[in-house]
Amino acid sequence: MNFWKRRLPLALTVIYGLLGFTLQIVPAFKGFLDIQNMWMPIIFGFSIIIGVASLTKYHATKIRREPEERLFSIITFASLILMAVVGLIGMPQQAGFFKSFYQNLFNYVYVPLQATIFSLLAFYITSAAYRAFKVSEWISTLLLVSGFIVMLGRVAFGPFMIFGELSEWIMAVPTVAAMRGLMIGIGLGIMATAIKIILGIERSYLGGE
Amino acid sequence: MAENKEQKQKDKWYVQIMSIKKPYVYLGMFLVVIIPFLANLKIKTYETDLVKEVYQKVEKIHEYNLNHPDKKKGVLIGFDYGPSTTPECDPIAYSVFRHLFLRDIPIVVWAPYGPYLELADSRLNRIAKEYKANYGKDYVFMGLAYPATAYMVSTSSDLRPVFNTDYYGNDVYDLKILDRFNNYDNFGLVITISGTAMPEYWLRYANSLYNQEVSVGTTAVNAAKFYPYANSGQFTGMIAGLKGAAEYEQKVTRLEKELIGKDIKPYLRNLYTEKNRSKFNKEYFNPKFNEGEIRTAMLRRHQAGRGMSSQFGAHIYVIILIIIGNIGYFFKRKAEKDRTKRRRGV
Repeated sequence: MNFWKRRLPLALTVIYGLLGFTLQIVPAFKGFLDIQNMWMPIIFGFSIIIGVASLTKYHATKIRREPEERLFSIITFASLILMAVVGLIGMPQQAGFFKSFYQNLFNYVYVPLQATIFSLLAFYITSAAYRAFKVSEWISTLLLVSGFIVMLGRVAFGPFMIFGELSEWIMAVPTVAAMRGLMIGIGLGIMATAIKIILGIERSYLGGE
Repeated sequence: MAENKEQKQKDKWYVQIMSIKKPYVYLGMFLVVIIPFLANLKIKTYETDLVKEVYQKVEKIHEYNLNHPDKKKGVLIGFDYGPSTTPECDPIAYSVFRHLFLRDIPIVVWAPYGPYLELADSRLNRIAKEYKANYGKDYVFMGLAYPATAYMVSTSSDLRPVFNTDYYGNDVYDLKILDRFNNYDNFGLVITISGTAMPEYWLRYANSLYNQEVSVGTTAVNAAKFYPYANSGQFTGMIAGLKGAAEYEQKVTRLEKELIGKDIKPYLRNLYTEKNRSKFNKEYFNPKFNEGEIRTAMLRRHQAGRGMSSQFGAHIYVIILIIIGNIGYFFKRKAEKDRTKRRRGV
């Protein structure tokens, strides 16, 4: 059990981690790099199976044990099955019932639902800004003033154009400086974590520990 | 006694303005967004250098094509956004497609994920229809390019072998447009319209490895991440959020009026006649405009401008709420300080 659950995944991570690294930096292996890229959709395909299995297990348990939540889990299951079946049949078709059913589900259910979830942010941000954005110290005042200028600047016109120019400057100078620092930090962090995973020092992805 | 004090404290005006209930805050937000939108208000926005850069680059490709009709350059579009970011990215895509079709620049489009395909297909054909563009000659939709990096690398030599067929199942070697526009040498520009980190991949592969100029259209949230690249010149301009879309939309609308005329409705109405209708394959779009479609096409022409009016309302509303919250906070602190002083004085 220890071999299948720990040693083999660890060995595969080390081998493929080093291999991926070598393929990237040795120009002679460029052909193999393309093969590696082609393998990615296969791995992605398996991740969908794992995702569906995990979702099924989670909601099946909920249907059995939590009567108050049962309805939502049933809706999730029904949506999953309906979209999968209609998509599998309708997507490759040129025309016909399933094609138009799939298109309607996509355009009038899936797209508005996703856009709605994203637009809910506006409501949460408004409430959070109203409650939490307070002038308590000089640094929070600075943040508040910058926020005001950028918000006004994005919609500036006529006599308020000064905010537009100030907003452009904030986005092009302080924001870029901060973002560059952040990106360098993130890059170094990713590198350090990748090295730790490849060398087997970081093993939390295997579960436990 | 203590309860009385607490109640008195709650009744103070500055405490009350600090604790407006969430449903009222949300209702206010809903109204300031929906009223300008339904009233069809439009805001004319100022144009920034980053958006002008993208526009001018497309214009330069057009000029080049006029001077070199046998060595035309095309534009490769990465349709890198999904349903969640359509409110911001759709107006960008519409404006960019309109500009390219107006200037008769060949377009090759692909999408990196499954859920983006349906969107790309509908948006591209919708705009192609408005300019009588011929599928396979003026534009092509290659379909799914997953993993996108492999396709970006392959486009350095020829993108056809990795696709085999386009989105509709046509053999890539039967599509006339792909005879020339199949690698970076013949693309004057790549435009990635994205709500994700995909523009960074375009930068790493198409720009860094093959020196391909890349422009980006993205959501306002993502824009901060891409400003360093746009500032350093790695991205050839950037269309950021609804504001960027409104800027590009304004520019393209001006161009359209210059090329087609002030009134677009009669142009759309008379675009397809019985004679020319047979030239277009109905698989991609129906070569005919009904009144409803004309109305939608007209609304689409200032979609970002309309969105800006809602954005204006929302931004002002948030600023007012923050000011109200801070006035309450200021007087509350003042009252607390006064009480502490009085207690010490006693």
